[in-house]
Amino acid sequence: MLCEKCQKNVATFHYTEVVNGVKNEHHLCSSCAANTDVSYYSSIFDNDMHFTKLLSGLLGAQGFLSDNGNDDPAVNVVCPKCGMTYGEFIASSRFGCSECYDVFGPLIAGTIKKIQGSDRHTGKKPMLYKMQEQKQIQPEGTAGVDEHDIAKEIDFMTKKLKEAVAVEDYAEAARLRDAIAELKGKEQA
Amino acid sequence: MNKWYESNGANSDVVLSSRIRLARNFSNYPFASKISDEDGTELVNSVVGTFQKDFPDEYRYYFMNSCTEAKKNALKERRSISSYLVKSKNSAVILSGDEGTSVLVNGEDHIRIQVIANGMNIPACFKKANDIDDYIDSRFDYAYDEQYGYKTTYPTNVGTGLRAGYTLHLPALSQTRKITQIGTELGRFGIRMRQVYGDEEDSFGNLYQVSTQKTLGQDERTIIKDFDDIVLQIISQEREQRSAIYDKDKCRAEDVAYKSYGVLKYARKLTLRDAMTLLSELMTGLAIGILSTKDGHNIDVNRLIMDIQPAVLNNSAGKALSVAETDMLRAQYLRSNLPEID
Repeated sequence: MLCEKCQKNVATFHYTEVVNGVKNEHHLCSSCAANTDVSYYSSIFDNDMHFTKLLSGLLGAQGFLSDNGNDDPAVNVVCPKCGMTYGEFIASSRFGCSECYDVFGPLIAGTIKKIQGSDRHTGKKPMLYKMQEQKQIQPEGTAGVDEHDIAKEIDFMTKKLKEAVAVEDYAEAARLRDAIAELKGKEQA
Repeated sequence: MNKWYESNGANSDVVLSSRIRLARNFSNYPFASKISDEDGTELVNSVVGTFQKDFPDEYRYYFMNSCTEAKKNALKERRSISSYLVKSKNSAVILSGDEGTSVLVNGEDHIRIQVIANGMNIPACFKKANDIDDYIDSRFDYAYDEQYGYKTTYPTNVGTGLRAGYTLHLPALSQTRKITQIGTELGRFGIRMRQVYGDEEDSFGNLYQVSTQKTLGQDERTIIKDFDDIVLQIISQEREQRSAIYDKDKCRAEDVAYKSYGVLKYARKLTLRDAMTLLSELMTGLAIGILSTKDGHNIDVNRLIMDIQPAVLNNSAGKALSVAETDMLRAQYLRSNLPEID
């Protein structure tokens, strides 16, 4: 039996873990076992491997790792900032940098939703974002918005966006652009 | 200063320890798999430097590249750093005096804030972690996305970057085999449960780790509240089962508790399995009041469990021990550290 991690050496280290009543057997070679923590305090807490494997499995099944994977246009996607390729991303299930979220995020949105049950963060925000939200100009009557109001708000913000670009306030422009995109998403939903 | 594991905690008859972790990254550095040594060093120096300037006395600072292997392992055994940091060169840990709070810098994420406490105390752990998070947020730029929230290395942490976990002692539920059913139910709530030692057919110690898995769709306080509500249900089920087992055969329960204490207190050789099994029996006996320590002296279970692990024993001996020597040292340690009982 080959080591489940490196797929190169013979697995000589075998252990079983029970997670949520489901028994998982693991088979590792001695060198991978040395780098895998199975002791008391290794804990599921720090171990992101389980989900990682799940993710690679789900994503891999979608094409890249299958025989007809080369037809998948996503194969050629590379993050311009850190150089992470789609193949690398699928294999490691790790983002290489902040920008990778824009590059690979859309490709795995469905998978994230499947694993997490949601694809939207509703928790804490960094202070900068909170401050921007407070500054946000609320047009009158946006409370309890309906579709009509959303359309009005998009118009209003588009005007503001043009103004912001005109005065070269790009930070504000970017914020408005994102807010508009979000509203458009709501409108379509 | 008392260490975190030396203080008392709520529901400590079932909950051994609580733990919170927040994962964060900066927008201006590549993440773990892509960061260069140079950038890594710069990031570490910048974060540690900022902390040192603002908190010269509250924390201790350890750079992984200048720590000995023994020091790193000791930090890991005390749960202050992850195994990732033990292997990493360009990382650092910022550690509070009670060792309960640690900020791991340039590990799997740029920042991982973790807080551990005795007993059931996740809200307090979260408050501490959240304060540190606010502090770092005021000094550095976090990588954040309007839709996905805090950007983490692993897609499985994205959003809140939060993980909450408890180590539970569930001897009665394990005995009644209800535990498998509970594990399956927890899975449906996005909670993961793992037995600390062994598997379904062959396990010992009755220790379980439960932790939250979902980081999107709910805010931090809801995640924690729901998790606590579910864990409280497990606690009450465990207590019920404990009383039921005791009421069924009091003499047997008492016999088991006293025998366990006797062996732990007087044995000359103890394997980890034996020690953990007996400690579990003893903990149960103390929890349901079969036996009590003299002067109400507290048995510091977290510390005992930590200190009888093979690596810790080898560490305290200062040399590599054979299995037999380790078992002897374990017995010796327990003899001198178990309090007297009434």
